Amino acid sequence: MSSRWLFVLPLLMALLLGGFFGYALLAGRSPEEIGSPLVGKPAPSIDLAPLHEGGKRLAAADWRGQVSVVNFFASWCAPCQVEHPLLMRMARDGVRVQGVNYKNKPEDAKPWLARLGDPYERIGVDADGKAGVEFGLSGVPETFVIDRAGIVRLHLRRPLTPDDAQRIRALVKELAK
Amino acid sequence: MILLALLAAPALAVEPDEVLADKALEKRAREISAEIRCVVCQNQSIDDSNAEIARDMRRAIRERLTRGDSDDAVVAFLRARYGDYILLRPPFDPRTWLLWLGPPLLLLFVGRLLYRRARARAALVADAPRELTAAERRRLDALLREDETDRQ
Amino acid sequence: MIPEVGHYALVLALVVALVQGTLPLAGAARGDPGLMELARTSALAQAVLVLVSFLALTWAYVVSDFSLLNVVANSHSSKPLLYKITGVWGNHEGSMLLWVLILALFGAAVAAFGSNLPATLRARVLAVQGLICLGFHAFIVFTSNPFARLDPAPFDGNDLNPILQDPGLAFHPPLLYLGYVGLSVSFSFAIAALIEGRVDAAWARWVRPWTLAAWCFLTLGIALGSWWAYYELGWGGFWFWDPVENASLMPWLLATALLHSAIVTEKRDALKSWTVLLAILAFSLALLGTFLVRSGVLTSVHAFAQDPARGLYILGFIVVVTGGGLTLYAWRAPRLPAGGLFAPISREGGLIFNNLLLAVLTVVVFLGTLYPLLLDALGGDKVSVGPPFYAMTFIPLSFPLIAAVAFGPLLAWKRGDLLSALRQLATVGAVAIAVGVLISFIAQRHVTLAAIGCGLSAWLILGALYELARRIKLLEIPFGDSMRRLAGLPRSSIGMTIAHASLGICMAGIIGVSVWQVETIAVLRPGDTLSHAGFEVSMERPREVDGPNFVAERGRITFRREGAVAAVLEPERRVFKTTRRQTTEAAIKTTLLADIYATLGESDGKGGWTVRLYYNPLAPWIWLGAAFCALGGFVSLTDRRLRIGAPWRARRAAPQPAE
Repeated sequence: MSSRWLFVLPLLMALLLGGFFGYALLAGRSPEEIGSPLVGKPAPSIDLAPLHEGGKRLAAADWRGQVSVVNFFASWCAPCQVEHPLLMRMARDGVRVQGVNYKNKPEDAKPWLARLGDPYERIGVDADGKAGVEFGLSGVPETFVIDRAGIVRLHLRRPLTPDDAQRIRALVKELAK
Repeated sequence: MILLALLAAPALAVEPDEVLADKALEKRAREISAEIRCVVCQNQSIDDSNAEIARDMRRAIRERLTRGDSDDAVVAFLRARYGDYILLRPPFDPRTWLLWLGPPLLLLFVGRLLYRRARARAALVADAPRELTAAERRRLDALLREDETDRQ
Repeated sequence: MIPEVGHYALVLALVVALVQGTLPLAGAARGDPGLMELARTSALAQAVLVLVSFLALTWAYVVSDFSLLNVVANSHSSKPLLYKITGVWGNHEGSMLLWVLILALFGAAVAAFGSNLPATLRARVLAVQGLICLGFHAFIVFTSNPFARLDPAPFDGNDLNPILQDPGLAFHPPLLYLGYVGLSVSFSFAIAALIEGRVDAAWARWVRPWTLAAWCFLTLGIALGSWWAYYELGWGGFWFWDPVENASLMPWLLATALLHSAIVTEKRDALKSWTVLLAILAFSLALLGTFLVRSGVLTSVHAFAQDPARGLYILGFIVVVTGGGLTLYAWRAPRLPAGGLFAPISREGGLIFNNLLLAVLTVVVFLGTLYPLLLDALGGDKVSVGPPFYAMTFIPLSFPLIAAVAFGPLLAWKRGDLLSALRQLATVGAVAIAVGVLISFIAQRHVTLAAIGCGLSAWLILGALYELARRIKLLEIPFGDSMRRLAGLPRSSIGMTIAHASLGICMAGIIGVSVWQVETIAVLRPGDTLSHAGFEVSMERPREVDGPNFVAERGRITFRREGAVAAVLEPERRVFKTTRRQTTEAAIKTTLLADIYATLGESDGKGGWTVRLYYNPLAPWIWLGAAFCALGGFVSLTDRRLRIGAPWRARRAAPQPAE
């Protein structure tokens, strides 16, 4: 340890780390966030039975040629109820919103939709959560935007906020061009 | 001696209804599960986790194995959907070189440095006067005694 | 009234810490004995004041004073008395008060036992302790006041998290803090030595007992935490490489390195600047551990107390402590004179090898713990670092270290003879290799790991015993003389033998569970039997039981072997009345060679219950080994030469100074 800089090295390392920790604390990054590797990749191929009698199946083939917003929801999930009005408004403005009813009994989901309104163009039933795993779900609600080529363009692992809704509208408009 | 203890969660990871009849497949499933991180818990593998989603992932793993997928294919399937986040063993690529190679390289580099310095200084040690061993001491005494007798 | 006394004492302690941290330093610089003496009186006053404060808070918990916010949030009148008391540190504010209490008590211990220290060194050590106290006092008083009042007082409290109502977890923090804070003394000694510009054998001899005491407590604290995880989480794991576990492991690794490097500094006057650096870093990592847990920067299982503002304060404090210490180091350490010379193959060389590997292992854990955070901050890439990573890095890197443990003590100081050490250990080595080969035939999983692990464990235990036998000339001289030699050995060398052999015991336990654990997960109906690890297992219908603050469903599971009852286990599922939280209790029967382990899960609604059964061979050895390891440390502490305050007298009876 004869050379002088070796004695300064620990100090430099410590200051570097200190600055780094300060940044990590203040940047408010959550180490919990998983990220969304599906973005930019083709949407997973699923084929789900409809929730409503006589409704259409929700299948990957429907995502060709149209921009779709796919929203995973359940009646037992409180945040779903919070974001629901935003989806209603989106559907009213002509955005194609599709639902995946996640691990939910149809007899619970139907009255819930009857009470809050049904924004979904079609609803697939994911009774055992298989479609959830296909989509890399970590909880409900989660929302995906899929473009006309069937590529996932956006994935939000959280209940929608009004800002998120704005962003989705803008993106849908952009992709529909 | 019976110890009683508390548990954090009511349910417990792998449930009996998940277990595959095929022992070899089940073993592979458990091994894969131990390497996949649960996405809603803190630092648990899906093998240890009680979360619903972890259970779904365990089921997906078993389903794919039963269908005949290789272990790598099963892991790739999950990785494509959840990202590198779920690999408890981080992949080896330029981003993680420091993590994987840092410690062994540090060991080699510092070890070599220390050894060479010690070697350089060992020469000094060798030149330093040292204690006589017991055998040498006896021989010296004997020689000295011979000297004595010679002189007489 | 009593809480006010506690609060007042705490504020007074802050003022005292301010005095303790400044005036003695000036006194030491000017050679003013009055100001230097102030260090002792203020350190003792500091301890009394913080103790008063801590007892006041404990009192509020014991009598369930719900006018205190802290008591309301973490206690309940129906809680058993033991958990009312342990609830004091089962929360952020209380645990910080405990931390500063231990800090003040260590300071007082230095003041009381340090009568043979040079006056200037003592004044400086106590002043640095005072400054550390000051930082924590300010933290508590300004961000985490445990004496905050609540008006109007509610009728009852919110109850403590049921997970914390458990003996293992209740005593895990105090032990860990004793370890963390004990390292503050080594840190203060290092800083004082840098200020004085002198590091010598005497200094190393004063530092060693404090480091050793801290290391013992840290060992026990980590072992207790691991034991708690083992019986509490219910799947037979004992170490999860969780960030919080890693946060306590890193200071332990460095403290172990410091113990060994201080020996070289004491015996051979070498490695001075390295020993000082280790003392600074070990305490810094202890602080970092606190920061990681308290800030939630790396959310993990234990983060039940998180607050970014607090995190930022602790971070600032660490930067001041570590940065200050390292600045002083960068400035003063290069002037420390070089120490004694030695050849690469020598006792010193062995101890340097030990330090190098321990430092590298610390780097492995450090990188593994912080890498996800680092990548995330640099570019948002997500990675996780979990047990499989450590199994591929930490474990193999620890093998050469463990293999070297048996060699070190057989090498002479200055210039050792590797060949002669090899020759001496030939029998031990042969036995170890035979054990490894044998194990490779009977291991069911991880064959290589099992063979190497068991071989090394035999090598450690036999190597330590061989070294002891050689030192007392067992079988070379009459047995009675050997026993006399044993009685005359320095305690520190007996402690070393115990600690090194215990490492082997602990390792055998780890390998045993990892390789031969048997797990059975099944739905069991009352009256059915299933076979598990050679037992026939049956269960009676679970009953409802009433506890002091919970109701439980208790199963009764009987393990028979060839008709004879081997164990009756009563695992439970509890629901706590106030929080409605559910917990599951594992039941364990241990034979000291293996654990039979059972937990009760949900009913399937068709008359069956999910049960999870384990058979864990050698599991108890993990914690026995760790406990014996700490015991070895305590035995060493009783060595005359390390006895705090006792002047050193060389013992003629000892054939050689041995560590």
